[in-house]
Amino acid sequence: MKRTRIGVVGCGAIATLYQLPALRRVADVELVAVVDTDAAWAATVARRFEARESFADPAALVGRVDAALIATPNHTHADIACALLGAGVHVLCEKPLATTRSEVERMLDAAAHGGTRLMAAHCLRFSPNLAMLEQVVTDGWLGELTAISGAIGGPYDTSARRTDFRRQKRLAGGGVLVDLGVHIVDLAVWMAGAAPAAVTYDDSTAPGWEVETDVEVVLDFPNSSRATLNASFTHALDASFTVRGRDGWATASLYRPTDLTLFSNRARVCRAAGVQQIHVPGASMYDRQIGHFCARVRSGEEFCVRAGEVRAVIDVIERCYRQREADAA
Amino acid sequence: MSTRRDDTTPVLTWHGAADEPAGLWERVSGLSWLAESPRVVLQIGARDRSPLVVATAGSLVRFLQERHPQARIELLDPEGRYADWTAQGVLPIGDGESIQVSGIAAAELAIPRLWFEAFTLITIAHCVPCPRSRLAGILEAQAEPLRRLRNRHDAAVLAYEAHRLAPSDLAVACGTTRRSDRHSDRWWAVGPSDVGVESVVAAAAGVSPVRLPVLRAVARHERVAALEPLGESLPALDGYLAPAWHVSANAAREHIAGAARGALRDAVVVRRNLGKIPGFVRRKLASRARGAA
Repeated sequence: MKRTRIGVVGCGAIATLYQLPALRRVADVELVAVVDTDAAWAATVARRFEARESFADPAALVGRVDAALIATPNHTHADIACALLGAGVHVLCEKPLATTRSEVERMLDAAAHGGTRLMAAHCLRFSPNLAMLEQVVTDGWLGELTAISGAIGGPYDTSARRTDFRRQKRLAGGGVLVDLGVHIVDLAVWMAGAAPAAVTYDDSTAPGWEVETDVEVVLDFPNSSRATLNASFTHALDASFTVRGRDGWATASLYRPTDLTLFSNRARVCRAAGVQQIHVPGASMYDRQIGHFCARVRSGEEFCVRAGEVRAVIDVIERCYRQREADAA
Repeated sequence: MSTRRDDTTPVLTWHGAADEPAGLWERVSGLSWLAESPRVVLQIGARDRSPLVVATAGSLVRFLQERHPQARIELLDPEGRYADWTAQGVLPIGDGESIQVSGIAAAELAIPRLWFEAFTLITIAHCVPCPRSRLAGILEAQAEPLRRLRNRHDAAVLAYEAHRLAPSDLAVACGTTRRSDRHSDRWWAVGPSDVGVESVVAAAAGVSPVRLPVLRAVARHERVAALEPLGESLPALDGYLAPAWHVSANAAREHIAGAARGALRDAVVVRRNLGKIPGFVRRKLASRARGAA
C-alpha cells in the first residue's frame, strides 16, 4: 500500500506532544515536512521527529505531501486549509475547524472544488471509551436518550502550551468554549445524532483574559434530550461525559481513555450484577484519528466526523457568542 | 427469582428411564420458571456433552417452540455441531466479541459482549467429576464462556464471576444414577438458582455443598439460601466426585506454581529497581557537586 505523505503545519504543544509522536507510530504514514512561522523551531522539530524538511510557509507543502495536519492558532485554520485544499492537499484540521460558520463553509467549498478531503480533528471521538460509548448509544443499550452531561477543563496556567494565543480573542476566536468546550459540544451532537434545536449559554471571564474562561452550554435536541456542558480554564472539572437514556446510563472519562462505566436495564449482566466498570483496550486517540483520516482518504469513505456535525458544532458556538453579545448589549 | 433475595431456593428433581424427561417441562412451566421471553439462549455444558444432555435440550426446545412460538431460541453449544440444531430452528451463537470488565473475585476479566444483551438464559449441563472442583456441573458450565475468552483465573473464581454476572434463569443438571453406567436411571435437577441446583447434586453425590470449592467461592461473597426440595429427592449418585486428595493435590500444585510465578515477577521488579540505584546515586552526587560549586 502506498504510504500517505503528511506535512504538519504548526509546531505548538498539541503537535509536538501528541500529533507528531502519533504520526511516527501509525503505519502507512510518512512524515515528510513540518511548518512553523518560527523557521528555527520548525527545523528543530523536524530533526526531533525525523521529518525530511521544514518550512515557514505552508504553501511549500504543495506537491510534497498528500495530506496536511493543521495545528495552528484557530483564526488561521481557514486560510491555511483553503489554500492547501485548493492545491490538492487533503486536510486534517485541529478543532475548532474554524471560528465562524462562514469560514467552515469556505473550507468545505475549497475541499469540494479542489477534489480533496477535509476532516475536523475532534480527537475525543477516537478515544476508545468514547467510541464505545457512541456504539452503546447507537446499539440502543441505553434506550431513548434523555440527558447528556459533560465537563472538561482545569486551570489554564498548568496546561502545556507554546504560545499564549488562547487568552487573545483575535488569535483564538473565542475562549474556553472554542478551545475545550468544542470537544464536548461535538460529542453531544455526535451522541444525540442531530443538531440542537435550542441553545442556552452562560459564561464568565477571569481577570487577564480577553475571552470567556468558564462556560455552561445547554443544548436541547429535537428528540427531547438535553445536554448540559461545562468547560473551564479556571477550575478543575471532572473531565467526564455522561449519556443517560430511558434504559440506562454510561459515563466515560475524558482523560482516562480506557474507562467506561455502564448501567443498562437491557443488559443481562447489569440486571444481575448492577453497574459495570468496563476497560476498553485500544491505541491512543491521536493514533486512531490519524489512522482513520489516512485510511478514509485512501478509500474515499466518509469520515467519522461528518460535515453536517461540523456545521452543527460551529452553529452552537456562533449562537452562544451571539447570545453573549446580546446579553452584554 | 434468585438465591440472593429469597429465603429458600426451590429445586425440582426428576427421574426417568428415557433420555427425554417426559412431563418435566410441564411441571417446570407450572412453577412459572419458563416465563415467556422474546429471546431464549440455551447454553449447553461443554464437559461430557452426552446424548442425555442433547436429548434434554432438544425436548426443552420443542416444548418452548410449542408454548412460545414467537420466542427466538439461540444456542451456545461450544462442543456441539450447530448443524444438529439448525434443523430444529435454533440459531447458533459463536464465541463473539468480548468486553473487559472489573470483577469482584477477579480484578479484571473478559466477558462475552452477549452478556450485555437482553435474553433468558437456560443452562443445561451433564455433571461430571472434576479434579479441580470435585464436581463440575452448572456453575462450571456457566463459566465456560469465560474460559473460552482466555481468562486465566482459578476455576472457582471464574465460576463465581459467571454466577454473579450471568446466572441462569433456569439451570438444568442431569446425569445417570451411576455415572459409569449410561443405561442406569436418568436424573434431572432443575431450578431458577444455579447454586441451588449445584447444591442438590453435590448432596446427592455424597458431599456437603459447603465443601465444594466453587460453592465455597460463592459463599465467600454472598449468603447462600436454604434449599427447598420439590418432588422426590434424588437417589444417591455414584461416581460424580473426584477424590478429595486429588483436588487437594491439584490445589497445592497450583498454589506452588502461582507462588513461583509471583516470586519470578518480584525478582524481575527487584532487579530492575536495583539497576536504577547507581544512576540515582550518580545524579545525586552530580547535583551536590553543582550545589557546592
